[in-house]
Amino acid sequence: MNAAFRWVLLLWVVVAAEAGAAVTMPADEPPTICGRKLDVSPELSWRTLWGELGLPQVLRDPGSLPAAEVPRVVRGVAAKFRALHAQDLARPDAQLFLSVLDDVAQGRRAIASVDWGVVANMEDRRVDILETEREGAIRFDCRAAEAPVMVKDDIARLARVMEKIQNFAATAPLLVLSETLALREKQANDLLRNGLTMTPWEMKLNERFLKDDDAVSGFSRQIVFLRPSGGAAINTRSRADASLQGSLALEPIGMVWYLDPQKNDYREWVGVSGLLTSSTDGGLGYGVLVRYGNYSAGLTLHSGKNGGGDDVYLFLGVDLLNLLDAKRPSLEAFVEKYRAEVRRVNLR
Amino acid sequence: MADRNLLFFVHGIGRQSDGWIDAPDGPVPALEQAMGLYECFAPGTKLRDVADVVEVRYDDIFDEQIQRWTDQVKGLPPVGPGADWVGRLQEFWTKANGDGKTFTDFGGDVILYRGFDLIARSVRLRVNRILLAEIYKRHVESLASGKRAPEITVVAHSMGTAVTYDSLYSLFTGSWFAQGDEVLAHAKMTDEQKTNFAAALKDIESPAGTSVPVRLNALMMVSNTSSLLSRWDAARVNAILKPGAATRFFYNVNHTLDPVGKVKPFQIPSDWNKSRARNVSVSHLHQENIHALSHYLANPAVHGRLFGALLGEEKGFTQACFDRAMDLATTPEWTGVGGALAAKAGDEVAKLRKKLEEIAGAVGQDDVFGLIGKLDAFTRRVIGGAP
Repeated sequence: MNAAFRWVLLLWVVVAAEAGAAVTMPADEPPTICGRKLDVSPELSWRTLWGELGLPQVLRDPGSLPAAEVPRVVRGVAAKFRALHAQDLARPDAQLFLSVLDDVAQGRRAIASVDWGVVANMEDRRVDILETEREGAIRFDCRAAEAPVMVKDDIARLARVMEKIQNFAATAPLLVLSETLALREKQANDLLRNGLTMTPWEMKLNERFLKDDDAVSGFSRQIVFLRPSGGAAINTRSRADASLQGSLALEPIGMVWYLDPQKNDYREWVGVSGLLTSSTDGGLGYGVLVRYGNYSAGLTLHSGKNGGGDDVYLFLGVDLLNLLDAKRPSLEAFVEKYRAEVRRVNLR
Repeated sequence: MADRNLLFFVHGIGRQSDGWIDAPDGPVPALEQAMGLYECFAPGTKLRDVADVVEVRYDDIFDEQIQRWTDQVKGLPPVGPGADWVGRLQEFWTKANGDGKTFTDFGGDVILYRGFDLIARSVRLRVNRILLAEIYKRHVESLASGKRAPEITVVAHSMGTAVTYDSLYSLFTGSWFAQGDEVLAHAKMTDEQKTNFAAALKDIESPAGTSVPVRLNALMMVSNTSSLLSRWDAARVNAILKPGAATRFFYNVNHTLDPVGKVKPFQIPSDWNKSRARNVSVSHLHQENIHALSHYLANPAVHGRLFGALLGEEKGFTQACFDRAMDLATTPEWTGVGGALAAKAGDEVAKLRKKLEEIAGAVGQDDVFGLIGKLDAFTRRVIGGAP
């Protein structure tokens, strides 16, 4: 029975050790203060603190300390310091250190908002810990030949411990931050690269849709304003003029709506605009343009050349023209097939 | 490696290429040459032996936009009324696109950055994405090795100072932690990454209660244009970036004759911690292009502070080496003429100095166009050799 119990205990220890081994125990890296490298204090070494603070049980691979666990761990650090330096707690530096630890433990300050670094200021020949606006810093003056004070050295050692705890607590926010930034950068690029290209003045106008927060996604609709473009126009009323003519178009005002921009990477949109066209034969015309993606088409009214009312022109944007041009062989084949079918029916 | 600190370089105006920091006139060779001045570094030590160096590029965003506008006007048919206007527009953009160097030398980048927030937003997101991707990668490496996470130093130059100033403000004030659901839905992640991301969302306390867990050990702003080109109100940004908040040390580095930082000089706010925020003014003349980042970094007053912040005593840059840098900075070589200009005739150097004084001292507008005017004069007269 005893032997069996010992085996179970051994197995439990091995399993527990393996469970804790998913995250690496930090190396002891005590700071250098004014050229004096602090030794590793056994009481404050990671070998001691790792288990005392209960980190193996709460750290998630690769070393993320959930925010909910931070207060308990920080309380553990404060308790360790109080136990080690019970006789020094009235010292201003000890009080400052403990007040900051207590603030974090009680949720009055975020752990990331405190600078736990042991900061060497070479210009002023001093080392600062916990430089804060409110309380000032715990300071080592490197010009003064002061003898080492154990409590200050331990504050420096524990600041390094707190720095590591803050690192563990930073893992999750850093991951969230880096992924969010990657997505937002991609979306910002997609809007400029894939979306309807904005003229400089449209860009200025559409900036108004941007929020004053880069973390929020960009806009999903876009104003079209005094937008020039090219295409071709065809007179739908005159068989004599029914040939494509190069046409300069201007959209005085309009709007584009992106279709699920996050999913479609700003590649799909629909829009409607007012339309002014100018062509060599048709002169000036006005009407309406609709667009789907880069394809646009519109109808414009032009003064009739031969009296008898206005001429209606069909305007096709360059990309639609290019599409039709590319599809011409299959379109012609389709039209030919259609005509042949009509002829066959008529012959019956 | 995780136990080396991180050093980011953010470029200024002009065309860059991948590896710009290692170009012969780039910051890495300048710092490696400077390392030879100190016994703290063994002979032949490379910068990458002591720090992880990362370059940040964003100039391609401007190139792409110019290309888009060029393509846009190319598609306009010069027909009917308005043909003249179309022709002129096409000529302008084709020139801007074809001669990109001239476009940027004369301030095109500045106009695009300061003039268009959609472009500036892309730039800010690019800079922040690179910073955070590297920081997170090194952070995870440090966890795996049990070593301390790297400390972060950013050196920004010229227009890059404004870009960095704006990017960091955006980073520290954005609602990044409230976007989790959208990121999960739309970011292109593997299933494993999604699982990790979902777990990370659970680990953070709440969107409102989570701070950006990044603090720059040092932010070095070289030839600082941030007052002129920043998109945000200085009071808002300075409250975020001041030492003790998002940074530990802030260095505002300018050359007495560099016109770029003079149009609307950055002033360290009076309420900043003066022992952590420093104005560093240099006056050495070692080459014509005194605006170059490498020319600044060569000066011991600049690289001494950079090595001190980046490495400090714990990484081998001792107080004695720092003191040597500060002593060197006061020698005639580093307060006057040296380097390539030392071999030139005295009257040639005097002419150069006079030109620089004229350009830097010329009274002009304290806006973007004032900067463009000074850049134009600097490029033509100092780099181009015009009288």
